[in-house]
Amino acid sequence: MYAELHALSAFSFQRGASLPPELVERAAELGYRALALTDECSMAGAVRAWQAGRDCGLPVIAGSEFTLHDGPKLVLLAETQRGYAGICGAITRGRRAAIKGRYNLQRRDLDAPIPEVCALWIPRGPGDVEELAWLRERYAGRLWIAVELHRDGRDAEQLQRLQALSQRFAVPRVASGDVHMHVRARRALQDVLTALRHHQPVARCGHRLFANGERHLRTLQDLQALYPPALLRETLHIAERCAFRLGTLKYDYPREIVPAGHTLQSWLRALVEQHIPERWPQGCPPEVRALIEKELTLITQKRYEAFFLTVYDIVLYARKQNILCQGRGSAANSVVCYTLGITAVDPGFTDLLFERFVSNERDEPPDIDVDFEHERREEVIQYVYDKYGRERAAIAATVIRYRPRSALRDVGRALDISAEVIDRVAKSLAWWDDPDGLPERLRSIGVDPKARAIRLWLRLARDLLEFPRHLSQHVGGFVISDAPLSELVPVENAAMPDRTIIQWDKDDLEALGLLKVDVLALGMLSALRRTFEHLRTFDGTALDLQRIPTDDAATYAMIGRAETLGVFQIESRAQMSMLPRLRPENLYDLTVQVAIVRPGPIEGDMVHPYLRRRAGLEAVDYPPRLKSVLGRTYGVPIFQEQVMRIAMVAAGFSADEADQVRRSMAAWKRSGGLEKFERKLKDGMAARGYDADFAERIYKQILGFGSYGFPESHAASFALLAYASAWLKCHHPAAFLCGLINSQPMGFYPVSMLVGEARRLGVKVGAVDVRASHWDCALVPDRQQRPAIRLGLRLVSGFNVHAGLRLADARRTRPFDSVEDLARRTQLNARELEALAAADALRGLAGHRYHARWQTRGHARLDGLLQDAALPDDPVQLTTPAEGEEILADYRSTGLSLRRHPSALLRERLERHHVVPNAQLQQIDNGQPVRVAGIVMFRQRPGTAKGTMFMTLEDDTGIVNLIIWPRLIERQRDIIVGAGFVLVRGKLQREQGVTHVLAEAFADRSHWLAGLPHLSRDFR
Amino acid sequence: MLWLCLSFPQLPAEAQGLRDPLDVITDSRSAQRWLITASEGCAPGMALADALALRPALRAHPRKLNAERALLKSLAHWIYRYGSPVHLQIDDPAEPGRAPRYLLWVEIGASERLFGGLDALLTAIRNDLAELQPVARLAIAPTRGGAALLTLEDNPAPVYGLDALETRLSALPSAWLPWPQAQLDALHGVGLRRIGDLFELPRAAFARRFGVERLRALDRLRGLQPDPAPAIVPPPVFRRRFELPGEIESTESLLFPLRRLTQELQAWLRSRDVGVRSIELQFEHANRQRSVMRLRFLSAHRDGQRIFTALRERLERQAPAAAVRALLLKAEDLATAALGQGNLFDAATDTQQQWTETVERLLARLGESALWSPVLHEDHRPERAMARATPGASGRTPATVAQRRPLWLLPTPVPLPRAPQVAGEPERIEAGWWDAGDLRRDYYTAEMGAEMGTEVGAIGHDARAWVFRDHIDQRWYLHGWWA
Repeated sequence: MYAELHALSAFSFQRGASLPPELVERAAELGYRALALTDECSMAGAVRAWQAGRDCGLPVIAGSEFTLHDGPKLVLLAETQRGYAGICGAITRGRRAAIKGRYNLQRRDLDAPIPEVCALWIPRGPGDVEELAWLRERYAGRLWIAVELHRDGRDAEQLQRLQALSQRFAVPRVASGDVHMHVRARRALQDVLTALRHHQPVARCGHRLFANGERHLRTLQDLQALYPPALLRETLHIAERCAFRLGTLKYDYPREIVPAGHTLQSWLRALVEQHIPERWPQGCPPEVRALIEKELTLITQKRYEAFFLTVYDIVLYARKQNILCQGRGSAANSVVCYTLGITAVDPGFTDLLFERFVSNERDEPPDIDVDFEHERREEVIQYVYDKYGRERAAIAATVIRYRPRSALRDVGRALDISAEVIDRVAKSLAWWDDPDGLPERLRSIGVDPKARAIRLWLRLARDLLEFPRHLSQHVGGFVISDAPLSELVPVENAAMPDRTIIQWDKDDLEALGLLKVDVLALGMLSALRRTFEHLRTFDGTALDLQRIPTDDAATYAMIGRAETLGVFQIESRAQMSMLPRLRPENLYDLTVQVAIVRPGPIEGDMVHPYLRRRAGLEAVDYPPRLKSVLGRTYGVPIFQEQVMRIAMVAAGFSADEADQVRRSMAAWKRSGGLEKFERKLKDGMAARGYDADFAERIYKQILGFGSYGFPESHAASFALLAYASAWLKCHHPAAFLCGLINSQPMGFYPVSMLVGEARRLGVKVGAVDVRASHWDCALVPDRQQRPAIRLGLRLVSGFNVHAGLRLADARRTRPFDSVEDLARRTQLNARELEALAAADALRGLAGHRYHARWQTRGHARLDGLLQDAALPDDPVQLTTPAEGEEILADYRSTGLSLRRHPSALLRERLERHHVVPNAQLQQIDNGQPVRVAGIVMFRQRPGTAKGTMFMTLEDDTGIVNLIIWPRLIERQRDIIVGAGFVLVRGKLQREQGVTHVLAEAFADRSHWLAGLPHLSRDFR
Repeated sequence: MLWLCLSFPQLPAEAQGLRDPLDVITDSRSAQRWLITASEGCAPGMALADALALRPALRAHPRKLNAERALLKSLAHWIYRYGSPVHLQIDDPAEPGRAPRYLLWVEIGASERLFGGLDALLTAIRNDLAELQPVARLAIAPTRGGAALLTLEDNPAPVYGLDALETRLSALPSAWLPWPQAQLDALHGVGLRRIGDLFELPRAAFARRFGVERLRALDRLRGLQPDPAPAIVPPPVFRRRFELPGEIESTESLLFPLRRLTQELQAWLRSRDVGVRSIELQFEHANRQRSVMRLRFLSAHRDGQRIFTALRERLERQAPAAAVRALLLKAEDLATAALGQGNLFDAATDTQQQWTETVERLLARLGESALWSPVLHEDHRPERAMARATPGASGRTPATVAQRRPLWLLPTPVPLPRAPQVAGEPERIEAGWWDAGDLRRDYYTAEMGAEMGTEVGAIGHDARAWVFRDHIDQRWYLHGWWA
């Protein structure tokens, strides 16, 4: 019998060639008594290993391997939580002392021995005696010599030598494996990782590769043949001592959130009582009061008060700083959250399912995500750090994994495949390509997929897919604790200066039940705040989210016409094609709208039945017992909670089991487990008297839903923002679009289309002009005193905010009277001046671009006495740029043009090709052949559409949406994936007021607009 | 002054002896590689990745600046017979997407009459070019810069007089000027599309924006300023090195580059109006080995064909000792040379020469494969770790020599009829999956009994053998003997 005490996983980046679950499962298969995962200076894989161990019944020991800068290589294994905390502390110290991705530990860092750990010393040859002596001084009684034999022909010699050492120092020996992979077959991948680590192709690594593949989890037979039995037995002895398991981690939430004289419980209640009158000025309705009490009881029972109070504190801070924020996700199911102002969904509005958020049976912590304005989120993050200190607050990590392109590149480099071939293959991989379609791809670009080197390359790249590459900072998940975090999980440096992350990601935190606050960023919140500010500055209009009038008919009418470009959540092509059919008339309809255009409902085939039933084209039928669940949505499940509730009400699932269905659906689909669920569901429904047909339908719907449905409360939170942004667009389009442009990048549409939309709505837009523009776009009165937008310097490529501020400052003193004057007073450098000239922003001072450039180039910077001297300059006669040139130059510099659309230049040519302007497509009948053209603005290949791609073309009259089937994509792939301007022959398709063109053939005419930058946004 | 300018757009390929349209030459800067010669559908300047996407069959070769310089110099020496002074220049912007220009000028104002008129002169030059075979474009103008620009045009008419030159140049695109890309972009950015636009600008304003240097360049271009440059004068002896693409073994394949060299020699001799009495042809081999072939003629002459024929006959009788990487043709023994005949031959007693001769004799006697030098490579696989190389080679010594290895290693392992008697623990080697040399073996030391020993040709009784069990085919092999 045996326990492996020294094993590395892929989380020892570029060393380990197997994932933690692979190691654990294999060890269990082989009959090991236990496995220690000892990644190098890391606990990043520990939770996954522990989970796998729990699932297959193998004890997993927590530990880590270290190579000290000046001293021994050793493995530390945790005996107790205290020992574990000590190891985490050492890892933290080593990681914080080095740049991201590395660690630096010296002997003096470990001079004070870490209590309650077992130490394994890894002999390396030179300096052995001295190292062992140093270790023994500190770890006597819990130190072993690790004997690691790998059939290098000198095993016997090694055994003898270490036995001598053992006797000399009275340190016992133990067998271990220096495991780098779970099976021998991973040898090639492990060699590739070594090659990457040394930045050399495998063929030139020579002795840096391991000589054989022995460093895997070996069979007990094998081990018995190699090692003396006493050494094997010793592994069990150590394994018994190391009884600490990750699942028993306990930690406390920070205590200072409670003022003196209060407990956590009493303070939470006090705050709730304080805020109730704000939410319900007419008094708290009895059913709400009942819900509040129920929730508070549960919160106390699970001891989550601190969590709610922490989030409340953060939200309070944000509000005080006038940062817009809103809670989302399942937290919106909580009345307490609503009362405290964390979320905005009124409990009377939806059927709140608190169990979705916190459940008695489930041992998982609640998930409170709060969206903040994306540009000011940094302030909030800083506040958390300042309040709790760098020791006790840190951001969760994200594991960056190998994707197809990076896997191909790295493995290609390791196999010494020529840079050109790697480049060609990697570039030709469109973002949706899956590895299996690769051989075809290769043939089409002249690479032979049957060549041995290529086959090897593909195979290893596939093995490498999804392997962790490095840790990066999560978007905003904070972990906060009372004791220093480094006792719980190691903390390391992130790439950003002054940022630290823990080594676990959000899945790890969830698995261990650690509380995490998500401080997220939402572009629309920034846009909304900016809109409010613009209105205030323009004419004093005082508006905020709470004061927007509800149920405005004009707004809903606009939404129903799908004029939602720029509106939160309902602006995408898919959403726009649904709006005329669904025509939301109130907030609940909007909630459905937000939730329904998602993979879940689409795949579960919920959309059409819903639409038909709502339109009265189909009977609304569902078993009466499910009225409470499905009544609101015409008997069709749209939201995640409905699916959960059906499982509970109709098939007898407990809340916990129902939630389990939601989480495991994706995994079941991938690797089996669905049959069990199907049987349980259908049996449960049959037992409750539902007929088989209905059960089958429900099962199919749940299956399609998978884990991709929106929770109702989440959709409701988003619907609130969607309505607010739609109302603003409807009634204050200039301010809204101005705020939107200033908050870029965000949303679905590029600035050129936002500006286009503004003009379509009759808003005047002024070009970037140094005489009038600030850094941001501004709302200014036009000649009729109506709000118009002056585009800002932020749109100028190559310009920066500091230069923008200097320019605005200098202008405030006195307007500019020439380019020379501007250059001198703003101290802009040559590059910045060139950027302004290229953007045509100097037109007011110098004339057209050529003159502007001539003058900026002629500006000489003089210092000292000559500072104000005027330099004589002869006038020149330069030609005037052609219109086409100006337009293309506009696009290159600012991404848009206020002159004509590039397509307008080509109108005559397009007419000769019988191309219909996009605006006139409405007059073409359904099914007619048609030719269209335009600049490619969007490419979208959603996973639900079975390989179909959607493309949007823009010409000078409007846009057209194309549907492209997979066969056409394969035939004309290069054009479809890469062209900038295309002509398309196809058939017009009109259904329920929504027009598309089914593409039949593409012609690439990008060269007609040579010099137009790449404008298309490409989406999944 | 009247300048004839020749530009050689395919010179980088010709310098390496590549003629096939699928061979392109590339230049590189950090990670970017682009073409500097044209190929089917791919213009110079195109990124290599794009060209390969268009024509996957292209073969890309990095440029060899020394070869280019050597060829251009040799061409300069040739054209010397048609006029003087001769100037050469490689305009090398070294920016991604731009190809170098290889330019040669010869002043023909005086020579025109000598050759019986411009047409006769040009005909003679074109005939020579046909023989020498580089692709060339010609232009004639009163200034060097002007002539160089005009070679880019498709207009063969010569330009006489500075006024006519200015007119012709004014129509040319400013993008053709050999200036850094940033400045060309700047010209484009202010709408100065034609060179004529530049001429019209006020001088001070132009200089202020583009620098006085550029203003002067324009002046030189249209002859307002002189344009001095060092003149090329052919050396008193002919020395031409030609690097071959790869290693050439067969005599047949050497003939083509040899013919070129002899033609160049002929052109050179003619331009100097001298004859050659003896020549030396050096072959460069791997590892800086050289072999030499000397030819003596009955009389001094300058007939390239005769030289070539003599060399070919010699080669057919005695092929070069090893694969040839480069040729060096020297003609120092000239009929009217003032140097005399004494010191033409290097001291033949240097040790390098002796060693070469010894090695050649041994190779000739024992056969080439019998002589080799051992070299250590860093590789876990025993047969790769100890490799054989050509005599005198020294490989890179690996940093770590890990394991004990038998002195005598068989070149290929010999299968054993039955499992041998092994002692001790195995050394497991599993490596080489990446280059089709994957091996998985357990190595042991075995005592070879007498009968087993003779079966496999052992050297003596009780020899200790190094054997292994192959995991792939489950058989036992003998790989070497311990000393």
